[in-house]
Amino acid sequence: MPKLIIDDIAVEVPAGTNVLEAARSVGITIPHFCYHPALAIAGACRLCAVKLLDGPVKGIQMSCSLPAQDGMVVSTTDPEALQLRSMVIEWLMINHPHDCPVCDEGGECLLQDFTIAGGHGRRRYQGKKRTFLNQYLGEGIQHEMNRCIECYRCVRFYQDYAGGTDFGVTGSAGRVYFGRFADGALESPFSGNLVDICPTGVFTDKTGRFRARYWDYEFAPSICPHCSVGCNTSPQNFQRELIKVVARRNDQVNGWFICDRGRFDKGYVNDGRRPRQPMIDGVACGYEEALDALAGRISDFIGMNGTGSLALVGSARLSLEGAILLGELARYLDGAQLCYFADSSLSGGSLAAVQLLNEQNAASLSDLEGADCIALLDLDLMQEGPMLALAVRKAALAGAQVYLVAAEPGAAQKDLPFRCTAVGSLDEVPLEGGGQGGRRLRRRRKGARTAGPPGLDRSEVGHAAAGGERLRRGAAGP
Amino acid sequence: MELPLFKHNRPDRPVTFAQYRQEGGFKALEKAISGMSPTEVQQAVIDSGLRGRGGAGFPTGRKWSFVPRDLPGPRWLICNCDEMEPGTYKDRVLLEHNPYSLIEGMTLACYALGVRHAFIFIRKGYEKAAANLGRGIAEAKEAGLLGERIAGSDVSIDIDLHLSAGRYICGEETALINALEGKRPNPRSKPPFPAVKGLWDGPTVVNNVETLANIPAIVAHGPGWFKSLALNPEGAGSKLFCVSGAVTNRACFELPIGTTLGAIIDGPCGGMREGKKFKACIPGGASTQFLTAEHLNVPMDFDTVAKVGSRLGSGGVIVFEEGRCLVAATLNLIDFFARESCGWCTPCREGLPFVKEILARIEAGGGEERDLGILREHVKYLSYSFCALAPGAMAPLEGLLTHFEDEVREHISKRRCPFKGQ
Repeated sequence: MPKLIIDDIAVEVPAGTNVLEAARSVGITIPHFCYHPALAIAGACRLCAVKLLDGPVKGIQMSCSLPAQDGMVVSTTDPEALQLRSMVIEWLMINHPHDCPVCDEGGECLLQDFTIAGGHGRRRYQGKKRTFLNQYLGEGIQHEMNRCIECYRCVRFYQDYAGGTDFGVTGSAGRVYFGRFADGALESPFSGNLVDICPTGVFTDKTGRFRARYWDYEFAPSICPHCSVGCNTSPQNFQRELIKVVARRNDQVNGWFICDRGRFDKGYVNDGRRPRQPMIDGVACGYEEALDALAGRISDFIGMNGTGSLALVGSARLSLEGAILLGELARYLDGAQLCYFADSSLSGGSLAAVQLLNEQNAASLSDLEGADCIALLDLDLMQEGPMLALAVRKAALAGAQVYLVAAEPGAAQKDLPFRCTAVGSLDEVPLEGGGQGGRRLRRRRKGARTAGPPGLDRSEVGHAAAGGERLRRGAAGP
Repeated sequence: MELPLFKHNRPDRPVTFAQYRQEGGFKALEKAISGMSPTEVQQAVIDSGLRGRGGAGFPTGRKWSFVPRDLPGPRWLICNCDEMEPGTYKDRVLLEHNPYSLIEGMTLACYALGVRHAFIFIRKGYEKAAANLGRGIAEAKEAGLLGERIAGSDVSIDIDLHLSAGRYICGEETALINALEGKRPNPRSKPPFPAVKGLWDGPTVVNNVETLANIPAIVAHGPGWFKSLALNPEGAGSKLFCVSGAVTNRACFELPIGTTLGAIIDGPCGGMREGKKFKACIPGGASTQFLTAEHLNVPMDFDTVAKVGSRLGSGGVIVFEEGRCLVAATLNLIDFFARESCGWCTPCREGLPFVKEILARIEAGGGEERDLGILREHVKYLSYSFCALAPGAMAPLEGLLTHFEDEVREHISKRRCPFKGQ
């Protein structure tokens, strides 16, 4: 654990922490653009300069790419470092269009923040500004390249983190361009994260542009309702309308990002046909009145037909609160049918999965990211839970072996942003002893498996759970 | 004493394989493979005092010694022939006359470093040099001096020629490695250095053409002989100087290290052109500081040139005569660097066009007093760029501001270039 001094504060951080993060751990924000906690270090923007006054390294250094070491004495306010930062802002502002009044990023713009913080105010460059043509990138994202400060965050996320191939950087020198070869919708189902990750307004959310300013929005911590992954989101509301959804950091689940469905697929929330208040036979009324009417009608129905004729229909996508209340209602109306699936065999598989799931065998996304062997059981990841695919990709890039158990893997395998081995059945996944990879597997630290509940019957779920348990136990051994 | 690099050259055509063999070519390789251990070859290079001829002048043997001996997996040698420094054309001249010294030198380097497979990364425009190298590699293979089981031994070494798509930044060794891997040629962060983690993450040595072409002579005649070639005691070997500008003979010469700047100009260059007077020169390619008439007695060696505030660099000497505007000359160089920035880091990508704008304005008569201060800020703060491109680009500007500040001020006060319309 290196011990260093940053602005007269003694700091101790885990080995491998860089100076920028070490400073952040004691509440000192060193301005930065290209640094992002979820991405690899680039060292491109040169804004995070600090001065090393003493220790193993001396002079001006970029704090993002400098690992903290014992004995370092760091100044984040040294005049020379401040001057360099001010010049970096001046350089970036040479070509920036200064169009904040019509930029949707205004108010949440890192470039605004660090321009104010950086000390550069008066323009000295007398030449013309460089300009670009923008591209059509689909219905989700608005492109405005003139605002770009070339931090390379977008391309590092899109290609390196998310495995996308249709967006990148072209050109060189002052003409580097972040876009596609030709206009067209971005193909990656994670493209919306460009909005969050861009420190300025090159990529803005087209679905919610020009509706309100950042400071106008009401925020609330929320969970994405679209799949069972449970990514953390922060919906932005303005005048009782959901305008934007952005990712909310949770390192156990989605990290810094969400998928495009979670971000852009929100039209139904504001749909005019959605009931906004309780109604009886189409006529608006108060809550108490509506609940009384509901209770009255159910009791009338039972009186005429008996509880056996009553079915309470829920959905596997119901919120936890709704599902609990529906269950309580069913208990109260003894004899009524409570059902979640049209097909009863699906119901059995789900029930088995829920019953077999416990704190020991449930894996979080961060567990998945650190796994050494992952089996995907008859699962189209990009459909069922896209953020799972990014977690598996992270593991795969770190060397994990990924198996896709599927009768017809073709299409599902093609779109995955990582390499995996297709196998016909779960038995072909090398667990303890079995299969070619068995010997190696025994030494693995962690195994994880993820299964798609629909379509599996009770015995298959049990089989999968047992396999997962073997993998987990095998991992704990020597 | 006979100098090693140009001794095989013919005036009108490239030396043939048979002629090179006849003049003792590939004897060093045969000597090394039959009678020297790889460590002995490396030691000879260390003892010879050979320093990198691409511009940085880093001791070659020391660079080799950074390659970990015990790492599993392949290691690589890359010959850097992306010669794009304005004013530098020595590698082209060498290879257009003789590709064999490089091929033999690379084979020796591979033997010393335990490399099975080496690459020559050659600039797109160097078609004649590439053709010579392609032929030379085939001939060496045919003669059993390259490829499987060299000279009947159990040593196998291959050399591949890679024709680059071409950008100045590809001459930066880590950008070169990215380019060779098929990626964007942005430089990589150091550490890790290529010697530890380079091409496809394997240990990699990147050496310049001239550096590698010196190795056969070092192995054949010994490090002491190589050292004795230099005219000054600290120097070692010969150097290719490629001269352009206001001299009578604009050509590439092989001269002992330590030859003075004045001796180069008055000797093989035949003096200044048309009776012009020497004003200044760039001694080692566009990314080195100007030297002036007071430096004509400086021996051209890495340390001595560094002592007077410039660099020996690549040996690309550009000579300027009295009456030549150095603001315009510097602007021309900055224009090149601004265009060739890879676009990765802010100071280089945005700072160089800023400098270009200011110099263009001064040259056009629109300069202001405060511009000098802004230029000086750039000289200082562009040194904090990601790689050495922008600091190198600032070298001629720093030279301009150090030695010719009056000339710049004259532009500003007269509101025009004083050398125009005289």
